Amino acid sequence: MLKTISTLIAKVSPAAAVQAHCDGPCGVYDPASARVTAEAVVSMTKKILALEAPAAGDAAAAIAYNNTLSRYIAVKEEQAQKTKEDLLILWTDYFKPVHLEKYPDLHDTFWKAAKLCSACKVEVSQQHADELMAAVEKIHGMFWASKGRDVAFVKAS
Amino acid sequence: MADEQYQDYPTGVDNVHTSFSMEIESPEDWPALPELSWAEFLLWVMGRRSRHRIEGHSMLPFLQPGDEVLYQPQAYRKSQPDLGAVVIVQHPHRPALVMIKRVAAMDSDASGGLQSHRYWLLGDNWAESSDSRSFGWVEQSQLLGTVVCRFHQTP
Repeated sequence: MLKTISTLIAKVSPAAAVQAHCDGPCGVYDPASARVTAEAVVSMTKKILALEAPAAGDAAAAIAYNNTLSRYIAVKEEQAQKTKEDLLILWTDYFKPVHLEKYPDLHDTFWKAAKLCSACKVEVSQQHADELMAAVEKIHGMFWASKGRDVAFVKAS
Repeated sequence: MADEQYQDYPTGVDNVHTSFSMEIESPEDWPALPELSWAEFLLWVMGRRSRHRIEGHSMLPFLQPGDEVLYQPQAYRKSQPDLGAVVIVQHPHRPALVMIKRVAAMDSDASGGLQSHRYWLLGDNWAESSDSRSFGWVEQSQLLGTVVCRFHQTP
């Protein structure tokens, strides 16, 4: 009964706020950075797969091809690594035991997402790149739900 | 970026008398806040307790945003807070900002014959808390009250 009364009072007339806040740069987490880098991985994977091999005997085209391919690979590897780092920061620093109760598959989700980052780094796999994107979207959902907010997953590309 | 707050306990606390010797391994180990009792409810009705609603995440998992607590104003006019007490406190440099934090350490100064105390306050959720790590020691006069129980829990 007391609980009903206090809940009603809190609902009808909420108390003045007291700050359990953070106003520094610490604790500013956002899965958006992982989303951007994962998108770059997807994009580079697509570009590598779409790259046409040069005609045999065309030295200039071979150089251009090798240069472009090398750059795509370098960016893909770098962005996959960056995605992994961003995800690990969310996993180890942002999420707390209290979140684990709400999302029992939290560890598994992050572990698999980190493994997908490694796979995308090593391979040229459209499938794994898409799976990585899906994993980042799932983490995006868990992150914002843990803050009680519904934030749309908007991609840049 | 976000790794930086995971420093060991704050620097500049070498002259703390009563220090971090509590048997608390991590902020998750603090005992839960007592639920509202009829006695506390009556004290609130009589004006001896005040209510506050939590905003922000710095006291997770102890208190969630939207939770309401009862506190005893002026509890520290004469007596000192225990280590581990959850207090309502004025920001030392922004008096209009009223915060809720936990007493992590006390520093006593008896110079000049007058005993004075100051406190090192931390949020429970170190990753998302602005506390003594940024604003330093807090004077006893800035402690506005002690949190005694929960009033309302967000579902």
